[in-house]
Amino acid sequence: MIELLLFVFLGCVLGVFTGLTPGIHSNTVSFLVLAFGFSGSIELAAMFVAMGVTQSFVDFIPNIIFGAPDSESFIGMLPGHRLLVKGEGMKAVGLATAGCLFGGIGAILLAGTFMNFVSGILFFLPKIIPAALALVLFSMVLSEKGTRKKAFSALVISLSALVGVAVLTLGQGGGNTGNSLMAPITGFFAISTLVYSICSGTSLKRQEVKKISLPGKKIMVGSLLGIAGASAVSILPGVGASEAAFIIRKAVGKIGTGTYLVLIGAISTANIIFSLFVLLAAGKTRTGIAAIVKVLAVPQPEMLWLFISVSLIAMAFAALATFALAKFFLEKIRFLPYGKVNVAVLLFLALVVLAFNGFYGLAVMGVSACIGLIAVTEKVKRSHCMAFLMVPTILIYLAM
Amino acid sequence: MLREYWLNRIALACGVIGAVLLFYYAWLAAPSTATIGQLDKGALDKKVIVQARVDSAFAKGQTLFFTLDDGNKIKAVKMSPSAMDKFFVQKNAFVVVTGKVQEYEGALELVAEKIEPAE
Repeated sequence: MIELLLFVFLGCVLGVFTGLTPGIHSNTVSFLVLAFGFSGSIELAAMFVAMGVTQSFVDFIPNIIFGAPDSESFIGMLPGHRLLVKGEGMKAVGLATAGCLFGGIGAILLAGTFMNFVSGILFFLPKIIPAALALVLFSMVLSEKGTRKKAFSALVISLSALVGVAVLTLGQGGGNTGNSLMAPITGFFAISTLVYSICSGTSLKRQEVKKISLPGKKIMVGSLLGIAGASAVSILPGVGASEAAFIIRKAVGKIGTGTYLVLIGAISTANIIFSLFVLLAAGKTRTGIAAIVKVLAVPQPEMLWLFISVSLIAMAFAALATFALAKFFLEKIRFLPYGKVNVAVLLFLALVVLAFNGFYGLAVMGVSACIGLIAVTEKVKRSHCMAFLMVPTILIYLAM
Repeated sequence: MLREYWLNRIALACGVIGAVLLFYYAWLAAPSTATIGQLDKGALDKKVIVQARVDSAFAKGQTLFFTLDDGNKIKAVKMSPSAMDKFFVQKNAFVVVTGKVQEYEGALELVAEKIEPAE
């Protein structure tokens, strides 16, 4: 029992490390463990569950504060950055954290219902995904006002789709792994934001870090939408948290920045928890964490209590740690010249992409950044760059 | 409006409930020590710890098949065995196997989760 708690605590600490460090994912750590040939260890399985849940919270700190996205919740970078520039960075992190917390609680409360319906959902949902994604792509173009903006929107979508197909289906290490996504995600959403911030001389307003209050209604709506999105993401291969958040936003209509951040947070954490339930109910793995757990321990019905208990403990640790770390970084960042911070982050991200993906990744990042900058300078939504994930996903489902 | 104070309290409550449920899981999953002779149909789906000598062992694909003998014999399997598992499970070695008792083709077998050398 004590040993199990220690492993859970270790998992939480590792989750903070993988969450704060761009380019390091829980999958990266798991490869090392598997390389040593570990198996038959409930304690290690619990550690990875704790690590995955904690990472889903802490990811938002580099995402929002430093503009360094990860491969799952990168879509939160744009609204989060908007709030950061207005001096509400702590509120942005708070909203995402609240989403993670309530999304996780909701997923746990729905464990029984979800596990009963997994088989039905597994049959039905893959049939409608290609049509749903195609519809969203068309609506993205139509949502822009004016012929010029519609034309540039179509251009950004087409170029992003080409990058996505090239990288995910033809490029090195193809497939939807964390590291192969890193270069285009970094280019589209991080480098383009950083370059624009540097060139336009964006500065941060003084950050309010003490005694934040968050809108309860936005948290409730965002969490409920997030839980619904996560239940689909945890079952469908090739559809990630950011894609799901994006689709829900398009389907529901106007969602404010705050609700959107809660939604992304809820999907991130609930997705991990639901994927563990999918492992128990159907034996299928849809997240790296579930895949590792399946290798480390033979799934048994009583493990439902293990997953729930470890998730709850990790959520508690992660929520408190995220608030503390966000306050720490936001208080430090106000003493630094924001322009120089942006330059430092840009160089760091380029180095990380170079380390994990080589010069090929750097080239992809550069091309993606240019496409992102087209969107910024022509004032079309940067979220159109999501086509880099959506078009390959449509192709994968049509090929199934 | 939801203040950070209440978010922290909700998070702490999650942690406390999680710790309680973890104790419950540990109690539920705790294996009981048994000899092979004590394993019968009443022990099906129960988790047990058995200490015995390895009578025979071979690996096929991603599965390790072996027979345990402490005066009575039982067949055992280990899915996706690690290098250490294969090292411990060798003929005439004494091992401590933690696993679930299941039925296969009318006979009881032990599906091993953890294999350690006997002291």
